[in-house]
Amino acid sequence: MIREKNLMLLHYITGVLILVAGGVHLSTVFLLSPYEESMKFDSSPFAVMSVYRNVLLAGSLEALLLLVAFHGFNGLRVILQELYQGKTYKKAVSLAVTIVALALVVYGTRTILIAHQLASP
Amino acid sequence: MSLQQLIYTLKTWLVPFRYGLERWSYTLQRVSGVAITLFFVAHIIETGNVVGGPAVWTLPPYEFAKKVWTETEAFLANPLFDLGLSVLGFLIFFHASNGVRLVLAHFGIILRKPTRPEYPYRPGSMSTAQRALFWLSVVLAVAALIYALDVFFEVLRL
Repeated sequence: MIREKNLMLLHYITGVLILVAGGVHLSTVFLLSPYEESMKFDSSPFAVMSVYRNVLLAGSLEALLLLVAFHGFNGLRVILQELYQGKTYKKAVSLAVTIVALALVVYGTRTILIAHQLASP
Repeated sequence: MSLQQLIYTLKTWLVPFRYGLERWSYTLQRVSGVAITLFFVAHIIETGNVVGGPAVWTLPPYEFAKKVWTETEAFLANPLFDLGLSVLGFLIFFHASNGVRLVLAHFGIILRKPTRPEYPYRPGSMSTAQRALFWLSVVLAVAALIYALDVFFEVLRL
């Protein structure tokens, strides 16, 4: 069991790191090329497949996935555990939130790995 | 826990009136956080579908992925989703910049020294820097909203 203090410290650290990883993600969609171009599947510098082909950009998406999965579901845990006090309830919320977050990480990682292979020539 | 207690708790979370800026920041931070997490879940599921959904764990044909992507794009290209994404832009930018303020406040960087609660009872926690950063995050969020609306609806053509 990680202590509450350390969980909240991790919450802040992941929050600040999301500023970087999320900034990269938003830049590739909105700033580095027009939105219509970024939304194409391929054949434009920042189209979906072009982003996944680039190891660094695909890696930053994986980082964003891990960070948001932790940050978002830790936030959800805090909100839900404030609703009602009790050992069993607390444990149930922690367990449920961990399972959903892990499932999303596995599913999202699969998407990134497949898309990277699909995009690579 | 009774239903009445649940309603009371939800009210303290969701109704920010009468308590000043910090309560507004608290409510907006929570609502935006939950909204962004729900979007995150939907986004992971939607992008997972492009490479074949939960049934496919091997490499799908390139043309299949391209077809699903194009179909998803066509399905999502309507004013309702565009408006939703614009509001989400507002929430993301507010949550991110207000989050920076919260981190700074947590480590005591932008806090005033504690004072005695004397009339007119201005909370010492809300320093000028804190209030400025709060309004800065509101400005950033509105800017993101306007930018997103322009991208999706091409009103201003920035």
